[in-house]
Amino acid sequence: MSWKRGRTTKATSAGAGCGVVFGLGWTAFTLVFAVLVLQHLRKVMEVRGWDEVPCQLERFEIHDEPDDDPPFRAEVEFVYQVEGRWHRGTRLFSTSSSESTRDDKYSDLVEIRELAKERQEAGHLNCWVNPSDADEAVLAVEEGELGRALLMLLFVGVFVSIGVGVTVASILAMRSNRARTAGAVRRKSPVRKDRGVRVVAWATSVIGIVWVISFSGKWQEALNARSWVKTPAEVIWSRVREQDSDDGTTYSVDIFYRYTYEGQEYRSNRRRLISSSSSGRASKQAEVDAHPPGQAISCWVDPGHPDRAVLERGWVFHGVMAAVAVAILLTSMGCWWRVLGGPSDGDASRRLRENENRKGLGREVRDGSLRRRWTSLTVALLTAGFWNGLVSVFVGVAWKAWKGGNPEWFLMLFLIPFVGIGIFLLGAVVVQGVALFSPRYGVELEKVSLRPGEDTALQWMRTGGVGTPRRLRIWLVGREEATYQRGSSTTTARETFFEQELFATEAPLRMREGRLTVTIPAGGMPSLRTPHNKLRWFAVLGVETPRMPAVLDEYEIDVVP
Amino acid sequence: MKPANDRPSLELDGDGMGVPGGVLKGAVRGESPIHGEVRLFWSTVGRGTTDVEVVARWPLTQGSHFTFVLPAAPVSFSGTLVGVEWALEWVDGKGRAVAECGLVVSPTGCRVELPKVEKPAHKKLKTIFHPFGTQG
Repeated sequence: MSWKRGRTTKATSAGAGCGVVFGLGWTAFTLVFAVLVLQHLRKVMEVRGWDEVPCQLERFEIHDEPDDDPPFRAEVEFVYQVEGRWHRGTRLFSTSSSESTRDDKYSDLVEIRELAKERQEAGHLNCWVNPSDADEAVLAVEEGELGRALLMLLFVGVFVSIGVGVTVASILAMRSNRARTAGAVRRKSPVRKDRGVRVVAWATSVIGIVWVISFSGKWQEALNARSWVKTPAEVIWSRVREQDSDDGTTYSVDIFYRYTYEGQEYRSNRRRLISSSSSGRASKQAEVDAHPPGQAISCWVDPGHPDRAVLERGWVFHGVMAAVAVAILLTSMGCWWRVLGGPSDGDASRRLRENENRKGLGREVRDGSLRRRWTSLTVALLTAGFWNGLVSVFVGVAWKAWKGGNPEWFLMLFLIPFVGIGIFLLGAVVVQGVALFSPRYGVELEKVSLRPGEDTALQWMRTGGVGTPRRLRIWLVGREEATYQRGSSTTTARETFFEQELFATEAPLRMREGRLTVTIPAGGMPSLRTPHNKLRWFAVLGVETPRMPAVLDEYEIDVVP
Repeated sequence: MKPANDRPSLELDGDGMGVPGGVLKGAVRGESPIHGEVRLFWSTVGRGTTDVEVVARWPLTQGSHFTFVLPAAPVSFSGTLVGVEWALEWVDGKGRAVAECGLVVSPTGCRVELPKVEKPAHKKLKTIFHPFGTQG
């Protein structure tokens, strides 16, 4: 045999090696988070295993201390009986200290207090007692904490699985590359769908579901907030709250206010439906200065739960989170559609022949160039948006550090290639956007299915776009396509085995429309379509226009034996 | 170890070549009773993941001879990235391979070699974007 069986390239092996390194690094990084979540989960589960014992609430006081952080402190006292002996407890949650519980949300503590009083009046207030030490007890188990912890574990687990999957796939790819180099021929009867697409389908499904479950409560609240009642309120105190993290110090506005609803006074420090903090103290200080103690303001009160109120009912954040969820779920649906058998190239030949029979004369007017350009622009936009969105988070960290006089040089150097790629992707978006306006042509083929030696008429006409083309050329092209796994991704290599220029002109009138005859060579190879290997024939129309991306439209011809 | 002439094998009539659309005849040789089936198939080879298609099967219920009509395509060829190889495989009643032999299916009697166009002119268009006008 003259051709090279089982040929592989150094690039293929190097790519698999990089995949192993990347996969191991990713797995190690995400395992750290998994361990933290597991530790938290263990703590939550531990208390749930304690004995539930009836108790009597004696005191539940909430103090506001604006100079402390968190500013709201709850002191509780309850009594319970174990084996005939009375005990006194002062811990609210398992994560609380024995003296008090601190929280940065007044309304959360109020909610717990009201719930405890309600259960006491109904006669079924319980506490949780450590079976190993009856003196240790907590009054409340944080509602929903177990569910949140499990969701978070599932979420982190997906990322760990991705790392493991990339590592295993890369190792398998390295082994198969070595087998090819050794000359082994693999024969597989069943054709498998892309493994990588399945992984992405599962990962995006789980991430999307976790995302929706996590935010569904917030979205519901945002919708309900549209019916909340505007109520006069008064500022009790206001301050700028500082939060230190690895990214630096961030600030948020904390306003504690009182309001009266249906004759009863309530207090709250909830400013928005979702709290946030960001850099830049000056703007927050200005807002605090505009809300001194005693200042009359307005708040929005939930008529069903008057202890819930906010100063602003903004929904931008919810909209962004909802858009991200939609993007993730659409990606998931697209992957499942591909995995479960959307249209494949293998059907194209049959569809072409069906079209020919249906149309009788086999004429086809093809102007799919505009759709292709929109598709290219959309892909470029999504890719650039995703990449630059991720990179911008780290660029923001580096920028804050540099602005704060403490530059992180290693991070800045590390980000240079990523920022470079991001700029390139943005450039691609611009080019694809300009390409939308490039000249467009429609091509009509008298027959789309030919035998070697047969010919057909090809007619072209300008259908839209702007600009005056400089040159138009038409080729008959034969191409090999081979699809294979490289690491965890699927790659398609292409090589041209036949090219014949059929027409070339720089005359504007001839470029506007024209007609020629396309003849398939007598010894031409028939088209081949298998899931991973193809021989394809195209009539290719190329147009060069000054100051615009070149147009290169392909119109497939099915060469049958 | 069995002598070579005692091992199960597939033998083709004539020169072992096949012509698209033509008839291919042969026989299996092995210990009796002869059973199972002969499969005519082609597979892709090259850089892409291998695809296989079984074109026809001949049950060996009435002797050891088999006859196939070869389809018009694909022919045996080799290209830069993709190639097709034809072969016959004798499997027993449990689907285990007993013997195999390759063959060339081609109108010329030789495997078709696909050339490679080194620098396709139509591909150069893709990289052309002259903000101040086209050149050449």
